[in-house]
Amino acid sequence: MNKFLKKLMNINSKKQIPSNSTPSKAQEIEMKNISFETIKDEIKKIFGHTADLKADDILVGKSEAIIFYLDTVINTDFLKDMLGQTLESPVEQDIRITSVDELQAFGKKAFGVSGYKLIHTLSEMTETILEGRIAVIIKGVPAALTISFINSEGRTVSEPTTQTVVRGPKDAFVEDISTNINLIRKRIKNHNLQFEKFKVGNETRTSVYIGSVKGIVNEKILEEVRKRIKDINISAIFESANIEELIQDKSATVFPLALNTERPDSVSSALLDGKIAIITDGTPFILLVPAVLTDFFISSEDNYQNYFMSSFIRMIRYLSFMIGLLMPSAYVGVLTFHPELLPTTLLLSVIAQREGVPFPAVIEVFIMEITFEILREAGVRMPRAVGQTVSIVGALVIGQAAAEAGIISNIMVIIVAITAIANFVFPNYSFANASRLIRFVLIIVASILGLYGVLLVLIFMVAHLSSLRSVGVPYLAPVAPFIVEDQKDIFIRTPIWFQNKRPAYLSPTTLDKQKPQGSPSPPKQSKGGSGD
Amino acid sequence: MKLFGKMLISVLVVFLLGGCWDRKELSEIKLVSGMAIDKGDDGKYEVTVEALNAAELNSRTSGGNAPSLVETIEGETLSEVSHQFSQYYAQYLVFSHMKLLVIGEDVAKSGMIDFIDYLERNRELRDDFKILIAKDSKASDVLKVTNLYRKSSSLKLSTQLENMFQDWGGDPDMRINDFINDVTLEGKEAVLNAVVVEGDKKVGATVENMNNVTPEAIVLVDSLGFFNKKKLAGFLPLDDTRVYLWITDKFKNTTLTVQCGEDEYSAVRIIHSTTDVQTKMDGVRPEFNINVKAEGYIEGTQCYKSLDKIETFKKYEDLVSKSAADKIQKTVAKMQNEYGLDIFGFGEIMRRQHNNQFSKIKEDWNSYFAEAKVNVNFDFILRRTGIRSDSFLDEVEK
Amino acid sequence: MLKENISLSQLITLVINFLLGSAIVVGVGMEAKRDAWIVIIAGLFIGLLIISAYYFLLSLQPGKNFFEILEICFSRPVAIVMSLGYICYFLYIACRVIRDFGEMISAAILPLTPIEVTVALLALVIGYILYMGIEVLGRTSEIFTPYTFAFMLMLFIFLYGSGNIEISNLEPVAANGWKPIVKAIVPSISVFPYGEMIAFTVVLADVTNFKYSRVISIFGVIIASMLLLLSVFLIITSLGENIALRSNFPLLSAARLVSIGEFIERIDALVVFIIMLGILIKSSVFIYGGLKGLEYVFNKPYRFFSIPIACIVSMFSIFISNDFSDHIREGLYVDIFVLHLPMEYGVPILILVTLLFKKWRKDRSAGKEVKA
Repeated sequence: MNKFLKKLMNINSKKQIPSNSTPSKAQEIEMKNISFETIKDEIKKIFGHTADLKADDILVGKSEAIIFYLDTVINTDFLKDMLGQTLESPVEQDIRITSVDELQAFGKKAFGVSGYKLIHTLSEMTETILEGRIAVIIKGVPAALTISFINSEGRTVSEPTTQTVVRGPKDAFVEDISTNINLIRKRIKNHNLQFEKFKVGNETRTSVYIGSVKGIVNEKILEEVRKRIKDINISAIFESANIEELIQDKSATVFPLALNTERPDSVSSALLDGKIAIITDGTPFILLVPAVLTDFFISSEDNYQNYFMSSFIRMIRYLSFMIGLLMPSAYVGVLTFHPELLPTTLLLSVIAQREGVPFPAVIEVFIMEITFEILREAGVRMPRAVGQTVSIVGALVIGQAAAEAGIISNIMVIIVAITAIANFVFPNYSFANASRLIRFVLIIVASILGLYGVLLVLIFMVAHLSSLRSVGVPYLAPVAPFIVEDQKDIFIRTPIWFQNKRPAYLSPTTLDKQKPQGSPSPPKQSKGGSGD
Repeated sequence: MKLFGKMLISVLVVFLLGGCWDRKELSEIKLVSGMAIDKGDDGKYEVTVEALNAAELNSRTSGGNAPSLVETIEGETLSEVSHQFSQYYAQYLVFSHMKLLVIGEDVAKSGMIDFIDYLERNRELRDDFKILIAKDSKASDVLKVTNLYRKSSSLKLSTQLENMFQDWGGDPDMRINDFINDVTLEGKEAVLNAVVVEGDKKVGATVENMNNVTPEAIVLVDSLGFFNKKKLAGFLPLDDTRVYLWITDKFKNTTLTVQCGEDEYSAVRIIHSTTDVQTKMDGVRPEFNINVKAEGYIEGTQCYKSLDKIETFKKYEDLVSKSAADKIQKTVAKMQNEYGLDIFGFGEIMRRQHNNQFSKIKEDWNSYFAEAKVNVNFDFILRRTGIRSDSFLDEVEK
Repeated sequence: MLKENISLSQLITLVINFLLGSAIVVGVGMEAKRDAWIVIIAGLFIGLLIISAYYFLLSLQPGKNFFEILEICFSRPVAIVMSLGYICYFLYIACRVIRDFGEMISAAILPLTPIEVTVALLALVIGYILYMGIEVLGRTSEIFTPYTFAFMLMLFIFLYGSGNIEISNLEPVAANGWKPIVKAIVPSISVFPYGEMIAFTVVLADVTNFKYSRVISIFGVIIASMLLLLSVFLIITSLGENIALRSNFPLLSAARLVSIGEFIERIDALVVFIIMLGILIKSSVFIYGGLKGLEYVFNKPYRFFSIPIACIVSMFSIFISNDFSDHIREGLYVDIFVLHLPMEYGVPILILVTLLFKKWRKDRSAGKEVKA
């Protein structure tokens, strides 16, 4: 029996794992070491004989040449036009290119505008072909000319799906990185806005751009972000969330340490505050670091409404955070441990309702909460048309039905509904998730120690938040450490003409945004006589 | 770190699995709304407790059954008895929402108020329940009378007393803290409101009592009981509660009837009133100067003098002032002469104002009080006359 | 061992919560009966003197905390012995403070839960906070302090609104003469809570702007005394002298009186929150003092010790007293002469004298060199 089991185990462990399964960078072969004839085969071998690699023999003037490209990545119509006009035009018929310099001169003349580059190694060529360029190799010239023909098709700019506003711009980022940067550049027409390019991911080689405004951003923070991105050593990057996980400060936490947004105006205003944007190719969500806790309570819409209204809404957001976090646990704690804290009439009403309910308060809360989470997830996955209706209405109807059946009490339904709705108030989804998790912990603790436990966990949570740092910036700035100047946009929104300085916790290079000014006042009447 | 993780898990497991010690599910508790203490035959005290049936008090879930359960147990200590009630009740009794405490006349007369220590020391009981004395009946009977307002007796009485205090000045607004303070202070004696049960007590304990327009049995607020140190010493008519409130400056509102002519009366509603009492020692005789400032309006008058003249206002003001001052004077005199007990707290006021003098005579304060000279100065200002000026009776006469 | 800093605003919140800490649990100045408020005002001035003295002590050797100054005054072996004494002293007071809180929770909020559980969980949270560093303590205290203020004020407004405040309860002033008041000032209030600011000699060394820390801590002492005054005022006026003296937890009993419109009543939780915060910060500061001492003696970063020491403190909170009356008597009466006076006044005065003497000698010899 034992021997049989061992054999079973051994079979599994002896699977053939190819030794060179790690992604290989194409060998750093210098081009001058390969002959013209074999280069086609070399490239085809590197690309593994994939069907979309095209290697065409063409004539450049009088010289023989091969162009390599991936026809799924380039814009083939454009290529045909270009080739027809330049590479095979009658003007160039007589040209013979024999050296690298001549190739350079030719490239400048023919493709100066389109962006040409000369490369010398096979690995570079592989990379450029993958990026959407064509590589032209002329017989006898130990270098290749690459021209960009990238196909930028993708989703067109449309409304944001997650962070919608009532009033304000309604364009959102798309998956293509150039369009995204275009959207940002359209808003910040400033020569100090800089983007640095990185390639991240061993297998995917995804382009990642770091955007910042020179002269505003703190150079040390920028350097730290650069370093972290350079240090990323992972096989695949598909979404900015992967990058977020990898550059996060070392701490085990449920709270998001980077802000992610789909809206160009949020990104632009954050950049002008001194934050750094990390733009990933292939996803419309852009990361903003460093992020602090109060950033998750701000939506760009706050700046587009009347400031009294915005301040009120901000307060409601903070309040709903506390409600969403504390309400179920307060319900459990008070009802199970401290019924003396409720006024008599309320308590009598609750007791009357809970008569005949079979479960203790904790189990009730868990059942309802878990049901609600299930419905919520289902609502997200369902096709758009039915999704919204089913999740919220479904929850309430199920809750009501359960209350009628006597499984849970009516008050429970109300509490869960209020908590769930309070949770939707967040502009940022990742933060709402954090509070969902903490809510469960609070419910468990409330069922063991009552309100004392809830207070303890709250203090623990605040201590944990105080210890977090996002790229070196304390997570609870500017509330703790308390910076007086920064309070202008945290709990209330002061008018724009009053916010004259950038947030100090980001240590920006230039602190002043604009000159201190008041709001405009009507022109003074001249003395005597009716006004001019 | 691994070791730490293991330790943490084991610690957490101990806490999570050890059990929750203070848990009481709502279905396991029963709220007590009233407690009554009588002298016991077998034990020292006879304790009666009224526990609410929560389902009956909510109109949606009520089934027409009795709103509360009232049971009695005898014992030596209140505390043990309060836990013994599981002899009768299926659930834990929770005293934190108790609204009423009724002390039997016999208990109060013999000065056995030592059970109050339990009421003070217990963490569940708060300071918000009303205290009453049950006159001419057992204290437990007071808890057994149902009433349509909020069904249970204690709930009805506690609201009723609050309103009586606000509206007419018939309740001295005594809580347990006030009572304890008054009993321990040398310069003041305690007072408590007294109630009687009127009508058929047997029917009063049933739900049928709530079906009549005039219930068969009802609990009435009857008089003001006052104490001599620990013992109940006597009762004052309800009218004098107002004087008590006036002197202790707890007065809210009342309606005063004054005689403005032969067999003609007017009613004046007094709404704001402040009192200032000045004490001093005049030789060996204390002297109290009571200054009351009040304002109010006319609610009804049978004297048909023209009410739009300033002189009439002045006339009414003088009338009310004199009448109220008389009232106060009479009550204080009654306390001085008949009982010799300072329930109004003049001693405490003297302690605040002339401490060294008071500390000399505080042992024997009541006898000094009995000899004291009392001056009352009542200053009433009539503000308005309702929504009519002259009385229609003026026209009738004409 | 990285140098950690706390900002000035964090310092002020630490001072305020520290002084409020256990003083509002059992009440302070109650020996003077209804004149306790006079005692507190006097205590305020004493507190100002004390904190200025400690600041002066630290300013003679800027940047060094209490234990390092001990080394400068005496030699390292002597300093190690004295540090061990102070470590035990700080941890002992932390035990007392946590025991205070545990007693209150057991008596008033969760009677059946074993006191070991409440104390152990609180100690775990403290251990976690200190493991993260004093910066985290500072920030946590900074976040919660506005709520403490708000709740104290709300308590005052509610008590006033429900008509429970009777100013006449304060009169007559100084009825029993000045002797009880003076007895309450010296030595009672000079030692608890104002004398306990010796723990700040360890914390003050970590402040970013040491120059301003004196003004800031003075402000902190003033604000904390105002809050203490407010709480004593509320206690005496709403409960009356008799009941206030017999209450084990006067502020809690006073908070129970609030009843406005049958809706805002039973707000014990508010007071428990204020008290919990104060106790948390007070015991954290004391344990931090102990940890810094351990760091000095063993030359290891103090975080290393934080969780074990927290566990030890929670354990000893249970061991130090059998019952409540033992705890009160030992903590408030016996300790004063045996522990607090020598440790809080005796040794610092000795150090001050030694430092000044050394400075005078150095100046004299420097002066001599200059002359020569």
